Amino acid sequence: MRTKPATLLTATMITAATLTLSLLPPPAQAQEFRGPVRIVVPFAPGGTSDILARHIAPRLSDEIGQPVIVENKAGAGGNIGADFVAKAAPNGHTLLLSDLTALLAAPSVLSGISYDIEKDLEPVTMVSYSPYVLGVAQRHSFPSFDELVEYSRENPGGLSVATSGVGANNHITSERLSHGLDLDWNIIAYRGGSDATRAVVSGETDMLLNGTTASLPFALSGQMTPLAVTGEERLPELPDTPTFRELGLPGEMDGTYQAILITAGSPPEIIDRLHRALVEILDEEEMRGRIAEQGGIATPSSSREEVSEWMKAQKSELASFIEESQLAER
Amino acid sequence: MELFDNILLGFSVAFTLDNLLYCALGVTIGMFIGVIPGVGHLAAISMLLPLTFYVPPTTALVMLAGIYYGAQYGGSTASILLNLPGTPASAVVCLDGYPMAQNGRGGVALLMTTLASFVGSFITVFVLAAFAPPLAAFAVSFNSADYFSMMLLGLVAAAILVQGSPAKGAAAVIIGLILGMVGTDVNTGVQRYTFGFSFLYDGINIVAIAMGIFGIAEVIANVGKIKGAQNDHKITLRSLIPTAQDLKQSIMPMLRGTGIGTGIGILPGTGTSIASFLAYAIEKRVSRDPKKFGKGAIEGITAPESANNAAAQSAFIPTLTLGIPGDAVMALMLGALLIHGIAPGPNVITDNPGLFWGLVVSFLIGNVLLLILNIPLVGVWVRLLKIPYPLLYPSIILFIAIGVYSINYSHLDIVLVAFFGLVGCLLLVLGFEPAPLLLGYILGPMIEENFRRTLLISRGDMMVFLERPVSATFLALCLFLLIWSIHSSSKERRIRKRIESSR
Amino acid sequence: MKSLLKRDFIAGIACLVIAAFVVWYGQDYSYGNLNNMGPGYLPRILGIALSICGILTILGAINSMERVPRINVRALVFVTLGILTFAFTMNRIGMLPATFLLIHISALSESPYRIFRTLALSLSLCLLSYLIFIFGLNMPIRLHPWSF
Repeated sequence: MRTKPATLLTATMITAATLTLSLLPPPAQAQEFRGPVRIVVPFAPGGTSDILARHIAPRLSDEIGQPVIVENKAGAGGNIGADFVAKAAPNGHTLLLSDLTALLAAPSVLSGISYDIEKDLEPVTMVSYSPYVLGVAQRHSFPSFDELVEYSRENPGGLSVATSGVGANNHITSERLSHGLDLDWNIIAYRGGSDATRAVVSGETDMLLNGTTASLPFALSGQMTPLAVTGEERLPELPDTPTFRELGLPGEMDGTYQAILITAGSPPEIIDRLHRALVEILDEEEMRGRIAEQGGIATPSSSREEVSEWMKAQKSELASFIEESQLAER
Repeated sequence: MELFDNILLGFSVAFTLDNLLYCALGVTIGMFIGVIPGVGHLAAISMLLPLTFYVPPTTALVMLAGIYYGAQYGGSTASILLNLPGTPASAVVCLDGYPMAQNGRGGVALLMTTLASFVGSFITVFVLAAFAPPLAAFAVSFNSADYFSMMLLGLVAAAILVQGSPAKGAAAVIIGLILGMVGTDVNTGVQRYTFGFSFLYDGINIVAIAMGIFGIAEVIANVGKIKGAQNDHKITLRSLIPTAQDLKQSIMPMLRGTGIGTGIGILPGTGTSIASFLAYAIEKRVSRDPKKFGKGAIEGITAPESANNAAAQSAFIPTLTLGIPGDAVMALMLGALLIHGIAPGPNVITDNPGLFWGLVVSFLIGNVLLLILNIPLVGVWVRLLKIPYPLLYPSIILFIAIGVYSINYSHLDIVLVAFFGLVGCLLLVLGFEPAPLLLGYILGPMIEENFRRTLLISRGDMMVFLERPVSATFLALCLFLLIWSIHSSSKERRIRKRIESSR
Repeated sequence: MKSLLKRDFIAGIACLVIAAFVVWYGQDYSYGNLNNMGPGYLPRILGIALSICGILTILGAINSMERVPRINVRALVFVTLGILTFAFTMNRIGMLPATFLLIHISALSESPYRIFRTLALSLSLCLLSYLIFIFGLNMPIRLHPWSF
């Protein structure tokens, strides 16, 4: 060690000086937007939430006069990004755009979720809803959903359902469907939606519930047979495929709900301003068209309380279902 | 000739000013991103995604794809010169590329990898043009049993990779498999070995492992030892040009690598890393002199480099013909199509022939551009080694740190790099090899997931692995390779004994 | 005593320690059965396999004379410290000051520590990383304490 004490001292001083900078108070909180706003997408780029965020960002930027940056923080079914926003500085500059069901189910399915979606995040608005399509592998020739149910009753455990992963939205929906009808389906988890699609196209598993964007091309090309769709109405692209409601199944066979949330404790004026701006953007003809291109329906919320209540109801319903079906323990 | 008409259509689409410009832009960005260690092309492509909102979908895809395969070219540069795998796939290139650079043959290595990349990509683009739909149909017929058996073959390849003691080599592979278990268990959703850290739920970031055990460990080993420039060999034009023998020795490895890469690339979810590892292992196996591997064998860089570029190109086959993306980057490409209102799926080729064939032809143009761009740059990159090491190593560390951060924007990934730097030092000290460990890490989750899924679907019937022709073929190959390895190592031992006894 | 310093002996012990930890920590994961393997199946198998490798390595150490090579502890400490400092400061004070810290701390792994050279290096790297990551790739990275 031939370091001169003097140089070491200088080094220490530089270190100390830089560290002091980190202890300076953060910039004062303002009622107006100061600097860029981030939309955190808790999934990989290219997915539904990501595309929505990238469509919304430039428009939001026009409205608030600040740059809007989309940032992907993927992992743990959306929970890593959500956790990040939950713990961000509550200055109204960090938003989360995510599919809600997986986040609402997470506390009941996954262990070690260290944020509370109701307490640490506040809703700004719903963004869109897109229904699910139940697609069946080509090698089966069930003419209708009822035939599928009948076959399942005759062959308990004979049919398998692919899901995008344990705790994923379509996993919970598949479990609900099989519980609701009291069927014995072999539910198999895959690594994401496209892996699950691959499995059904290859015939390894028999069926899959998936969003319209991902399912429609396969349904239309005949590589999967669409037997039913979720939502209130039939899809214009699949006029012959009934909704689960028409089949007499409960309304909870839902789809994907995208929403924008913000760090709790952010200045209410800022949240209100974001709410107004976003609702206006989502109401525009062009934005509705873009969301429709992705197989979704724009669903701006009339008030923030509306979203809170919906989330609360959905969360407790999911929790009770998961507890009842002992999904988490398997 | 339908193919001929299609190619003509492709040329008419690709040779518009816009498309040529965006293609050139894409491959150039990609190449530089590949050179910077750690910066994932996923991060880079998603940053540049908004640029493509304002151009037609074909142009958008031409550029994004250019970044993707362009990055494969640059990935080996840092591996060869600094032992820093720019992408996990190029970690294999470290094994022989870095020794070559230390022997003053860095320029040759860079030129040969550029050539190998070009060969791998170019051939695969023709395969893509001619056989995309049947190959995709074959790829999608793979089920979990087939994936399992193929990954098992990869594990046998890991055994071939080992240079020193077999027991320690096996231990390195197993440690890799153990690291691969960290994260959420896909089959049950249980979190294993995450110690309550949510950033580990999706597993350990592979770039952090590769950077730590290759890059940081190497820096720590070199600091203090190298006072001046890393390479004091004089850089002459001559020292950059491969010899006729280099070229001759590389032809077959490049072709074999291309074959392996194309085959693996068409399978969604396998990735380019496995292709390059497998290509390396096979070269070492078929070589008459396997001992030279790890000491600067030219086949050890050209085969994996052809393989990973071929795999990157053939990954477009399932993505474009089926709408099933193999990895996150491919998913992003499909996202770019969605933004333009094109639903990716099995009908893309028939509904948008201009898009598909234009893209294919742009691959050809892009690869030629990359070849032309890379050759003069070799001289520039080699000069990196002229930078005195005391200035170079802090820069390396900084670029690793920012690069790893840019993947998930998570500072905890940088902490992981520091941790795996320590692990890498321990491995070095105790004589465990990092390459088999990395391969174990890559293969582990896929082996486990597919094995368990197969048995879940077959209700515990092990025979499915033998009943399916693809799976059975792979298992037979595993057995063949194992027997061959045992046979040749025992033969070697006999020869060594004879030499010793004759002394 | 000498045998304890042999490289392969320590390597074998390291394998045994890792194996024991993996099995011990993984004992809560359910084992399952062949039809429905639990998350604990593989950890146990790998633990056993690794301990076998460890024992074989220890046995192999009997004939080997190889000692543990020396490592540069100083470099190990300062490089690691530099990376960790960067990791924990970059979100708080931004990339530029964190770069400054990283360069100076990691430069301490060599003696003599040359203040001016390191200063010049850190400033030029700040500029370079700004040009590449912020200007070129437009990445959302916080730059300095007063940015977003």
